[in-house]
Amino acid sequence: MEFTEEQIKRYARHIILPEVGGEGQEKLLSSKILLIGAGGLGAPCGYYLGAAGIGTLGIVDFDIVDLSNLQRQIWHGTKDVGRYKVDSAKDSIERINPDVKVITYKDKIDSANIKELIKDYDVIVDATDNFPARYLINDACHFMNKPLVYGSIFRFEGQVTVFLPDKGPCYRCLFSTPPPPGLVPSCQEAGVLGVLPGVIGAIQANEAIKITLGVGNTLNGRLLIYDALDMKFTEMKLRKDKCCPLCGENPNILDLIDYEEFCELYHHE
Amino acid sequence: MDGLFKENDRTDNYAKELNIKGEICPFTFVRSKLALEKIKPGEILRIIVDYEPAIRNVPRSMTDQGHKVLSINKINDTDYEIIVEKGGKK
Amino acid sequence: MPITVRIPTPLRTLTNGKSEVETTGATIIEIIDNLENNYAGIKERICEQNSQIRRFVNVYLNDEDIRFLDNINSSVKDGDTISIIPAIAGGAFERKKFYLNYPQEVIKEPIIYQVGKNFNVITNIRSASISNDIGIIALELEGEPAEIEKAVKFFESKGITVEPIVLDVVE
Repeated sequence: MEFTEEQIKRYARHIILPEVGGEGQEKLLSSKILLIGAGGLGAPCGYYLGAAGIGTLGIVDFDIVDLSNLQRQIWHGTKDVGRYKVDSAKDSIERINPDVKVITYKDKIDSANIKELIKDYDVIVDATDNFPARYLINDACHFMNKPLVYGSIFRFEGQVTVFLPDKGPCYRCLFSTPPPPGLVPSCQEAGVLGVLPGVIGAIQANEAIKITLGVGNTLNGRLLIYDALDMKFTEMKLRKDKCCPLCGENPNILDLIDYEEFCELYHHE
Repeated sequence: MDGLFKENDRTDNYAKELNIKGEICPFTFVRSKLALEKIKPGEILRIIVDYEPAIRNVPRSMTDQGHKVLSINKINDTDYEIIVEKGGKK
Repeated sequence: MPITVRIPTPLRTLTNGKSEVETTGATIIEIIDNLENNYAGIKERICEQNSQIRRFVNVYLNDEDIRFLDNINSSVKDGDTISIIPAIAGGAFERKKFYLNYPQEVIKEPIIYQVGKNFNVITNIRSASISNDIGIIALELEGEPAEIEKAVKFFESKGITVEPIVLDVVE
């Protein structure tokens, strides 16, 4: 492809980098990344992916912008309250970079649609906020052999890593089953510092871009933990668990677990 | 064509010629790099600039990124040429 | 030199907000038991009844997962750091208030009970005015946005008008 005059200016700081260059920028412009969740993690991540010139950016979210989202979901504005998050997100990205083709899905992910949603994308970013979605995305990425950039937040603490099917552990190697609700911190304890998803979401964008370019070392095999209160980054080794119910030697999860059923399952565990 | 080349430089030695007069840094380097990406290692690119700082900045960045700067010449009152051989495996 | 235990955010309510505590012990399980002595309730958040680590929690000795060492019997030496890493899902629970306007025919039905039982939400009645022919209830729902949405749909399916309370008139 030939860059337009506008693209040469827009992507100059990428093109200058030896690790990116014009060839790398072309890779970004022809890549397809799916962002699941248009909230706190999705906003900074999607913003950077859009600005970087990811050619096709899919965004999945069924939710509507609420005033209480704006403390952290920085791509929605006060005027967007009441709109679909994906519509507001699309406007924000298009305002930054018209090169990006934004495809929106106002769907709630479930076992019936997840494979169809992810099948055309090169990299999947999990920017969701609940366990059933996280397990569903992990399992689907395993079955479809898609790189998954995982990020999660709670109050002042974030976790981020990369799962590459066949090349490393998956989410179930780390936590084979979700916690029962009684042990999920109570609602009064929840809440999140607005900046925290900014940090974690930006790291997710960084990893998605590196996977696309094939440069550097991703977080595959490492869990990065960020403590915003103590301002500490800690890194833990992530190993493939041979007893993993999904990608271990004798897996017992052979297909997607239905979303609703799965909720029930863990409510009653 | 200016025709002010040194004796041993012939235009047909260049795999590509890039005239970016009017362009300033860092776009002089950005455009030079994009042009280099279109030729093969060992091939030569001739860059013509009229932005004086570029004759220092572009060669330095080219060298940093593994290319070989063969010569830098003032070719007339306003213009300079930078001759670069693309690095990497031939 | 003592052993440092890094406490994840969800468990800091048990350690008076401390992100790191110091303790002693020769093995992981000894350390967890010592923690329990100082911070009652922490063990059951980390371990099953049989003392094995829960499947949605991981314990690291320095940067290595103890499942790939000797599990809870892994030996620990002075100066080591132990990290407790729970699964976190992110997101913020929401608390939303609604006025429920009951039609006469369903006033006697235990609909709020059914909502609390069928959906993963906490129901909290903040004010109510109920007679034989009208029922107006200010109800707070707390949970994941999707669950709250389902609860609202359920009320509506019973013929109840659900109106969000925009201004915090009920606090």
